[in-house]
Amino acid sequence: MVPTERIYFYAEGTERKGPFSLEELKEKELKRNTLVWHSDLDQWKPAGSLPELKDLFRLKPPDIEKTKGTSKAALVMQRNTPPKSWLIESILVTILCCLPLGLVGLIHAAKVESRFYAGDKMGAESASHEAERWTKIGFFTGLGLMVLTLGWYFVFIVWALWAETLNAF
Amino acid sequence: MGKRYGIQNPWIWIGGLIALGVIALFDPSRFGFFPQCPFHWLTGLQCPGCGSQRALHHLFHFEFGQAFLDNALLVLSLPYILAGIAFDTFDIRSTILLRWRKRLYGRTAIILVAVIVMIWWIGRNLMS
Repeated sequence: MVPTERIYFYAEGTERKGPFSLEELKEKELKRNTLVWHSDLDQWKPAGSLPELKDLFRLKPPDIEKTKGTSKAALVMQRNTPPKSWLIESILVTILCCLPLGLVGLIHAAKVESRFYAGDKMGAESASHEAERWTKIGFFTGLGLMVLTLGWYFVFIVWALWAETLNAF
Repeated sequence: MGKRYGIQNPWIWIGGLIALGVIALFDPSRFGFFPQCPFHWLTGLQCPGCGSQRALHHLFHFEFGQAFLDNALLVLSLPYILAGIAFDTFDIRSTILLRWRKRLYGRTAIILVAVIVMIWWIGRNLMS
């Protein structure tokens, strides 16, 4: 089926390597995603998609880059809804506790939305992490203040009870 | 991608429900163990959230007018906050709901929220 006189090229970065015969090409270190062209193709095709090169990859596991591609960065790029903007949490921190910290959270929440819908998914993700950080700082500041108030109230009660017992004598 | 939840965190839910229970049972204007606002304590001025605890207490007792006087912003923003929690909690796929999410909780809405909070902050101090 495959004419033996076919001439092959393959791409290494932007460099074109060749010409090679099919036998010569098979001896090169081709990967599944290496772009290959021969005289009967109208465009460059990944080596893995050419039937005459199939045997070459039969015993090779898929390229590492491809499996790496499903890592965190790829998941971020695949999203079609914005990452968590921490808006509600920022509003609650703003109103219930610490206005300046809450406002910083709000600014980052706005960035999450504007970056995501502008197509900057990685930027939206990092803004989301910033929003999370500031909201959490605000939340724990509020929690700390609450514990302080409760502690102070407790000390006050103990002191009042103690003073009362002393007066009883 | 790891679990990153804020208000969906079960501990926040438990803590929040306990806090709401305490606020519902005890009147914050009569019991001293409620946390004080540090801004009010330092400056004598009201912050945007001052009166939230009293407002929630009155809401639990269906005294809406009094709640509104305690902190109008909190009362008015409660539906928005609750809807926001719902939007955050459920994984939305429908395009109609996503469009509403973008309208209500998108960039423009967030900037509007920040502006309203600032106006409320200045306004309530000028009014009193």
